[in-house]
Amino acid sequence: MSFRTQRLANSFPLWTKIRKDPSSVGQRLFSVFAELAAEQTITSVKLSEDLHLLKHYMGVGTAYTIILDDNDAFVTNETSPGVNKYTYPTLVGTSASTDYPLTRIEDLITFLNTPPDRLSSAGSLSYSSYEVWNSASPYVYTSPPTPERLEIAVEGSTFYSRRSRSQDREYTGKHVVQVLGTDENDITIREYVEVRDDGYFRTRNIFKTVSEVITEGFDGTCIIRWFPDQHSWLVDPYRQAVFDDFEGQLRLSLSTQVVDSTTYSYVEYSSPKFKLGEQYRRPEIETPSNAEILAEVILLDSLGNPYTAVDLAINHQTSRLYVLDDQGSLHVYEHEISSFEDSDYADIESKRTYLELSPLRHRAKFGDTEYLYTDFARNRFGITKIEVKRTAPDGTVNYLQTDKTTWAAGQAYIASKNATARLPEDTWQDFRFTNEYDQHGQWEFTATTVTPQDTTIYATAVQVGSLTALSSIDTGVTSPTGLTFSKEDYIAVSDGSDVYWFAEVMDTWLADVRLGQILTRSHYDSVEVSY
Amino acid sequence: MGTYTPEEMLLPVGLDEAGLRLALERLPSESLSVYRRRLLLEARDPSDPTQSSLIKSTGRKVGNFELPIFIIDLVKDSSGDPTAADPYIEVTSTHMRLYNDKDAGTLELEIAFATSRWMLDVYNLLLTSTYFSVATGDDYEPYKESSSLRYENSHAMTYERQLFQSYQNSLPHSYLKEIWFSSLTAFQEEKATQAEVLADGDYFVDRTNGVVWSHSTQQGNCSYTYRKFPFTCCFQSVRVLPGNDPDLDYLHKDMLISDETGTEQPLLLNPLGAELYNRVLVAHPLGWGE
Repeated sequence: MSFRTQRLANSFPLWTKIRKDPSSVGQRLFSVFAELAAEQTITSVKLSEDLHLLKHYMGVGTAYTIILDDNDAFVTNETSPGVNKYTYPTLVGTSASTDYPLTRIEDLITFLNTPPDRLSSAGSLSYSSYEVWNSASPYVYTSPPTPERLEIAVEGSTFYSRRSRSQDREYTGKHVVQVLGTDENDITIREYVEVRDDGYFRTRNIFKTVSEVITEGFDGTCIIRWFPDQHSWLVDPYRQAVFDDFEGQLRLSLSTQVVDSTTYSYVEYSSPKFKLGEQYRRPEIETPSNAEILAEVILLDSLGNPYTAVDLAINHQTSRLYVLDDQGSLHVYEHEISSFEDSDYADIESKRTYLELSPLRHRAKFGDTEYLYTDFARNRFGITKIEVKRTAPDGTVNYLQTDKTTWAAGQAYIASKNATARLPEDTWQDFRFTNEYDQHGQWEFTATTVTPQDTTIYATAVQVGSLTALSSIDTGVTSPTGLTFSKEDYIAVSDGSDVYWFAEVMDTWLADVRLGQILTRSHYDSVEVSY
Repeated sequence: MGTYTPEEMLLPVGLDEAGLRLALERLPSESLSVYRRRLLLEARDPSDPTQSSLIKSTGRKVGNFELPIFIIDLVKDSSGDPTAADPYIEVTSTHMRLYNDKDAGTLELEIAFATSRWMLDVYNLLLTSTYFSVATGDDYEPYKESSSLRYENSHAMTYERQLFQSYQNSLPHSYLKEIWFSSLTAFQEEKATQAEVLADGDYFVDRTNGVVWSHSTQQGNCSYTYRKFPFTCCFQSVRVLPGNDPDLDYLHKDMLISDETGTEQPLLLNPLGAELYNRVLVAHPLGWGE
């Protein structure tokens, strides 16, 4: 399911199930088109950047080619006139006397964007501090130990100037951080970074030295670092968080929680409700929490095991999420919010429903206990009794018992408070009940409502999302503290005193049957081709 | 079964498109980050048909960058003024010369690359200077050849710098040498101190800090020459030299005792010089030797 699905659903009124319930059949249908649109958006964002010299990814600039001898040419078998079936060889690449079996990729797009199979060291650097400049010591400038893009962290602001406010006339109305310095070629550069609200920003320019920093329009602390410190969140520039009543930038952050003595890490998808600091940051107003959580998803390694995450980063080449764990392993994710499966409900939702079930959130966090509510939304007839049934991700079926708090395998009907009342709304009093989400996957809930006229069924679902890594690779860095991508598009891992750079290595190949050649993504000293 | 050695194949990326616009193509085995750095250099300091640009930009066409080796600054007195009256540094094809008073022709230090072959030798000699201080740059290596230092000098000029309508303008450069103004009303008589600026038309130029004061409101623009300090000496893998550099004689000619001065001077064309001049004569047979 794409983040975009909700946007399509938002064209319906707020009260409709298709808009307010992401498990609805309508949203499941929309998710097909939304995934296509989301993919096109990522491509569009990248294309719009493609000719910028300072874009955050540079692309795949090199492949390696092998022209096959006649003896090793692709074996063809004409299955019908004009139709050839190829037999592909087995390839083993050798690099530094180590053999690596290569996997064949069928198309060019996958070939260019395949996740890494391993990492190769691209150097390291000792450092004493990430900090280049701190607004607490505004006249102290420290040059980065290596030319790099700078991360600007603006935090703790209680004031953002407003252009329209007479008391703020001394300000221009802009909220910016200006960084003056030199680039890799010792040419003086100045970058204006617009700060719409407190947060974390990255310069486009690569700074070798910083000679002056000017901040304007806000009063928070400003810290400039050459390596992003573990901070509270990261913006995904390729996706948007869409809720049923607003949308905004998608922020990713990490959290951990112990469930049954096991530590789980979660990536939290959230978005700011107020987009501009000037909308709500005033000295006379207590700063409200500005983040709306969309989902909290468990992070699992490629084998499906939990781990303790340390830091995350976005790969701008593939727009994938990279997470570093405390043991130094790197996990690569194709991250999206989890899809609601088209499940085989035992109870089919009826066309007409009177009573609805509303979970507090349709995307719950693994290990949490959350409320669900009954909602007598359409009081056409009085209610006699209801049955609430849940199906856990592992298929276990339980019923809400008459005490409205416990779940058990035995079927139970909860009687209405006054089934003989004259008005339908007087027959029923809504209540809430809890469910502990101790399995990840899709939890299905149905409410069977019995009225004197008929019996109706309402169905909904709650997703406890998880992400399983496409690949998990050990970096060999013990006790890592930070993760980012360097200006060379290397993976950069820090451990508090050193930064280690790694190049991604993909042991993959592509057959070019037309020219009788083989393309490999990575360089090998030699490649053995056999049938 | 066969064993093959894969060959590199460049795949087109967005940077290549930008490179076409800047007439710099990606070189084999050049990483994308290095290529981008080269493109940024060309975009921010574009090549042009001037001598200084030709000297600076030829290397980047073949994938080389200039490496900062020495950063030479001026020694200042207690009032913050340079101790040298007219400081000037020049790096020619064969020599580095440091003048403490260029106008008077007073040379403090002359370093011949033929005898001071390594950067370390040059550095040690620079440390002996009274008027100049030296620091090593990021890419200093003691055993790089000194004869690869970029041909340049510390003299520079700025044309038609716009002046704000004010009594005081701070110019972007320090250590001014000469200055000319487009307004002949605001700038009539230069005074020795700021305190002497008392009437319309009087002005004072703080040449050390690059500040212009006047009694009338300033207008128009000014052009000025200035001394580029700190002066950065760069290493060039591809060194470009102007053909009219007199010091080229030290490369192209062997030493003879001059009849006129009785001292050793480069006067006898050597094989290298003969080959070079023959090449020039083949290309330009007219106007030579007559």
